[in-house]
Amino acid sequence: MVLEVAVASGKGGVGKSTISATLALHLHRAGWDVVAADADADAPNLHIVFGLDEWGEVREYSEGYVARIDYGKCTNCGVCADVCPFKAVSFKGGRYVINSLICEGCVTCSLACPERAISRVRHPTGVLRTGVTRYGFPLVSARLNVGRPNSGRLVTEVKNMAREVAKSSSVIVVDSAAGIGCQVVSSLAGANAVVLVAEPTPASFSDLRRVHKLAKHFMLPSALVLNKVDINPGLSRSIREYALREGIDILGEVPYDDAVPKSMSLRMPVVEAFPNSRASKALIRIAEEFERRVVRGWRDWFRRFKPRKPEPYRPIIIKPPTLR
Amino acid sequence: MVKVAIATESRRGLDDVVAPRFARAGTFTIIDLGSEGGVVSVKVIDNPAAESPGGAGVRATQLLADEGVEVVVGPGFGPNAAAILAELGIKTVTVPPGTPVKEAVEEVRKQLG
Repeated sequence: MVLEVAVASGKGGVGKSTISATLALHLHRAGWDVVAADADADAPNLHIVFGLDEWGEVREYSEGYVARIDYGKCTNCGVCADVCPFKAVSFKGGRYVINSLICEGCVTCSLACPERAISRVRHPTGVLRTGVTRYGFPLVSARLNVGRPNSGRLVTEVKNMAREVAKSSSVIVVDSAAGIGCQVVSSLAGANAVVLVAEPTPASFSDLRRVHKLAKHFMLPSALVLNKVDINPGLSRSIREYALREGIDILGEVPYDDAVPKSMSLRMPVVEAFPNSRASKALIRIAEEFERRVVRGWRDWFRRFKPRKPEPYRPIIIKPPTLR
Repeated sequence: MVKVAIATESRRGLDDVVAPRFARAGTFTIIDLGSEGGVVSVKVIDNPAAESPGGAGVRATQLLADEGVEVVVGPGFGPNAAAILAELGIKTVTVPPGTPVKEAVEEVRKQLG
């Protein structure tokens, strides 16, 4: 089977990419077919961690539409600017111009234009790309153009591309975005397991609980990596207690270590750049535990850590506004 | 008669398999089950929600509600889809992705009793 693992944390900057890179690299070296997938198209950086610059395949990705004025037909009447509900049309340099960052592609202007000079065109949203890291396993990544919204669909495309690349028995490591929004929902949907990453800060603990709710919603078993564990021992204890209470498998803990930011500036996974650092030793142990418990022991691990019951849904109740 | 929608990948009807995602499944295979539990009719509809940037769960659920579906089968349901399905009283049946449609129907029969 293909084992798809989503690495998520809620809060950003707690170590998702570091953990994802370590897991992918370790599993690859242990002989598993690994595909790394960067599901954060807003700020893709897994390729930076792996020092990947040359993409094998690049696909244009477009989502939604923008309006385009045919200036051969335009008579500068300004109707488009008047009707645009998003105020995306302005008069600049003697002609009406559509700001494609504001335009929602609703075609109101196109319908209103007396000269029929406005059509809608697919708007390039970003690119999907795959490449092979210098360590020998493939990476799938997406990059959004500035101002284009990230989306669950794009994450789904990234994961589909990873599955195209994957062999029949592969491990796909999905480095998800921060937050618990649409793209993180898509990172978790269809995954088999979640690796939660947290640091002992109140913000990270709060976001951990939020993203774990999402994991429970999808009935996904979760493992936890507690990063920068020594910066706040008291809060680390609270997070450990939370994990025990919630039936999350604690994979291990990583101490705060300057080797991690230093390795980032070298564009290398820390376990490659500084294999003898405290953080690397802890990360390698975690990757070994992950391989042993989750990948090799999948059936037992799944049975043991699958949530007992799904997170109860919050009913969506839309009430009309109160009139006074 | 019970109307069941199964999140599927293609248009192979009863020979299809359950998609890896609910709201972003390529198609929904809609099956009418008779009072004896037998398959009365099968139709396949496209799922335009698969292409939507966000809100796929809401759109897919709306589509199925409009079809008058009473039971949905998928590999899991997102937070929005689950909330709306529960609100509408549509029963959800979860089966692993890749399950053959015929086995999924069997599971529905079992759960409906």
